[in-house]
Amino acid sequence: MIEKGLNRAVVIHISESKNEPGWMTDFRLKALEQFERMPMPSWGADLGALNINDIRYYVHPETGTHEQWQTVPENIKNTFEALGVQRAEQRFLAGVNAQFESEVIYKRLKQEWREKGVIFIDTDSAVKEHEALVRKYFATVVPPHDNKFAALNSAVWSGGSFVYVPAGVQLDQPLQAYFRINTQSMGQFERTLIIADPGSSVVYVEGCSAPVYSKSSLHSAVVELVALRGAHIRYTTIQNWSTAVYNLVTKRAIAHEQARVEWIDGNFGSKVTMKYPCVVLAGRGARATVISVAMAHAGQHQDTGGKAIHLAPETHSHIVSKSISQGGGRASYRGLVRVNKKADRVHARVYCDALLLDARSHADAYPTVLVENKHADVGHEASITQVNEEHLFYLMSRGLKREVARALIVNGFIDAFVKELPMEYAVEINRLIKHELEGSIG
Amino acid sequence: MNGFELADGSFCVPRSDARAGQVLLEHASQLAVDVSTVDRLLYIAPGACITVDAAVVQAPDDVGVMAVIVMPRAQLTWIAHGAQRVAVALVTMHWHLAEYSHVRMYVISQGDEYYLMQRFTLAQQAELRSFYDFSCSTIVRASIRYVLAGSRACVEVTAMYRADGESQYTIDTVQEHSVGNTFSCVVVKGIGYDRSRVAYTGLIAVCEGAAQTRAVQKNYNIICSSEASVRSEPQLAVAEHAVQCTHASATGFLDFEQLFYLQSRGITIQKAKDLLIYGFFADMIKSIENKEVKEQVVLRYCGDTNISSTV
Repeated sequence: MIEKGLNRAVVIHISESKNEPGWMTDFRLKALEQFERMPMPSWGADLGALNINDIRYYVHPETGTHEQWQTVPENIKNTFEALGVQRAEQRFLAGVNAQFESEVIYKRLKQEWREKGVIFIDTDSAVKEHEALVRKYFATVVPPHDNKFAALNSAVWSGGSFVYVPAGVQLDQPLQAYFRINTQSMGQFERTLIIADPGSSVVYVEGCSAPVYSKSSLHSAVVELVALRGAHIRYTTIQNWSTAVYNLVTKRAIAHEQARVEWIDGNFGSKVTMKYPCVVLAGRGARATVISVAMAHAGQHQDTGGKAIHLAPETHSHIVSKSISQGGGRASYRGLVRVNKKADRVHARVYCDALLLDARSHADAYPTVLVENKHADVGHEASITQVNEEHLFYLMSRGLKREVARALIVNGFIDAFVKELPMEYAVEINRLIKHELEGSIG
Repeated sequence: MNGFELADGSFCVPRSDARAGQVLLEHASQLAVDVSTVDRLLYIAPGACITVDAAVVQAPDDVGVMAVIVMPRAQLTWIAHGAQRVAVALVTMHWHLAEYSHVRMYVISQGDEYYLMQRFTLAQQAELRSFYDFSCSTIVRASIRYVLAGSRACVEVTAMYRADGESQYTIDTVQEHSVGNTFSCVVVKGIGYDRSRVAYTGLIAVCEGAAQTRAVQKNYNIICSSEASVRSEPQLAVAEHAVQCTHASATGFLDFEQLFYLQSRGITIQKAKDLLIYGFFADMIKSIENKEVKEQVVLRYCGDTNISSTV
C-alpha cells in the first residue's frame, strides 16, 4: 500500500505497477502538473474539509482480476454477494465489472456478446490489449485541463470500465459495473470509456458504495461516452456512497449525427456530490436526455444537475432533475443549456423540481441558459415546494398512515427517474426511499 | 438641484438639509446603505398620496445617491420617463417602504449608457409594483434588490427590453424573503435584434424561517437575429420548507406558422411581426396604468399605438 499524499513518485508508481506504455505515463505526469496549477473550485459545494494530502491515491487489493466468482477471495466475494451483484449478473446482465479499491477484481462478459465483438473489460487492461482504440478516444471528451478533479483523475486513474460496441450490435441486456471503497481515507479514481460504433446500442449500469468511516474518502471518476452516428448509449448510475465520501465526478458524452445519449443519475449517498452529466450534441439530429435524482440528508450536500451543449442543428435535449432534502440536507441543481450560433432548430427543455421535507433543509437551483441562435426553442422551469398537505390528507383519508402516504408522494415525485431504471433497480429504489423516510416524519 | 416641497407634507431635499439629516438618522437601520453616503432624500409623509416625476427631483446627469423613505400608509407613483437625453445616466437609489405603504413605479431607461442600482426594503404589508423598460439605452447595467422584511409585503415587477444594434444589457434582480408570508413576482421579457447581447440573472433567496413565502420569477426572450445572444440564469436558494417558489425561463423565436397564418389573412410581414411581438408583451403592456407610458411603450415595441385594434 503506498503512502498518503500525491507527487510524481506516486504517479510513476501507479503507472509502473500497471506496466503502462510510455504515452500513458507522460499523460499522467502532464495531468499532475495541471492539477497542481489549477485552483480548487470556488463555486458549488464546500470542499474546505477535504484534505487532498490525507488521501491514499492507490490501494491495490490483495488479489488479481478474476473471471469466476469462485476464485475471488472470500472476504471480497462476500462483500459483492451482499450487494447482490452476483445474483443480478445471473438474472439479467450481459456482463459485470467489479472494482474493489483501485482495481477491477472481477470481469466477465457473456460469450454471445464476446462473439459479436463487444469488449467489456477494465480500462487498465484495455490500454494494453486495445491500445489503438483507447488512444484514439481516451481523454478526447474530458481532457485533463477540463477541471481540477478531471486533472487529478487523469494523473492517478485506476480501474474503471472500457466498453466497445461494434457497428450495428444492439446489446439488449445491460452491462454493470460496481465500485466499492473499503479502505478509510482512500481515493478511488476509476476511468470509464464507452464507445458505441455507428448504429449500435448499449445500456450500462453502475452502482457504488462504501462503509461508514470517520475520515473522508474521495471518489473522483471521469466517464467519457462516445456515441457515433445513430448509436444509443444509456448510462445509469445509482450512487450510494457512505456519508464519508466526497464524490466529485466528471461525466460527459459526445453525441454524433442522429446519436442518442441518456444519463440516468441517482444520487443517494456521499457527504458531498458535485456531478453534472453533460452531453455535447455535435452531430445533426442528436438527442440527449439527463434524468437525475438527488436525496440529501443531514450533513449531505448533493450539488448535481445536467448540461446540454448544442453544437449542431436539429438537436434535442431534455433535462429532468428532482431533488429531495431532509434532516438539514442540501440539494442544489446546477445546469447549463447552451445553443451555439450554428445550431439551428434546437429544442431544449429543463425541468427541475425540489422537495423540502423539513424546516432545516435547503434547496437551490442555479441553471444557466445561453442561446446564440435565432431558431432555438429553449425552456427551463423549476420549483421548490414541500409535500402538499392536501395530498397527504387525501391519502390518509383513504386509510394510509401518514408516513406511508408521504413515502408514496415522494416516490411519485421521482417517478420520472424510477421508471427509467431496470425493474430490479426500480424496486430497490422504492424500498430505499421508504427506508430513508422512516423516522423523518416531523 | 435644490430642495422641493411636495404635496401632503412630503419633500425632496439635499442631505445638507436639517430635515434630511433627522429622517435619515431615524431610518438608518431600514435602509440598506450607510446613510452618510446619501446625497439626497425623498420623503413621502405618512398618508400622503402623490405622483412624483423623477426628472423634477433629480437631474438626469445627477450621479448622487438618493434615499427614498415612504412613510406608513403613503401612496407614491414614481415616474422616470427617461425623456431627457444624457450620454451616461447613473441612478443609485435606496428605498424604504414603511408599513402599509404603496408604491407604483415606472422606470424608462435614459442615456446611451444607463446604470441603475436600486435597493428596496419593504415593511409589513408594504406593496411595490414596478415597471421597467430598458429599450432606450444602448448599454444597460441594472441591479435591483427587493428585501421583503415585513409580513405580507408584496412585490410585483415587470421588466421589458428591446435590444438592437450593438446593445448590451445586463439585468440582475434579487428577491430576498427575510420573513414569511410574503409574495414576490418578477417577470422579465425581451426581444433581441441585430448583434445585441442580453444577460439576465435573477435570484430568489428565501431565508430560514420565512415560511409561507411565495415567489415567482420568469424570464422570456425572443431572438430575432443570428448574431444576437441571450444568457438567462434564474436561480433559487431556499432555506425554508413551507414555501412555493418557481422560476421559468424560455428563449425562442417568432413562430413561422403564426407569421404565415397572419400573412395568409392579408397582413404584411412587418405588421404580422409587430402583432406577434405585441402579443408576446401584451400582458405587460395591459398592466401599465399610466396612459402616457403605455403609449410610449407600444410605439417603441410595435411601431403603432393602435396595434391592439388591428385584428
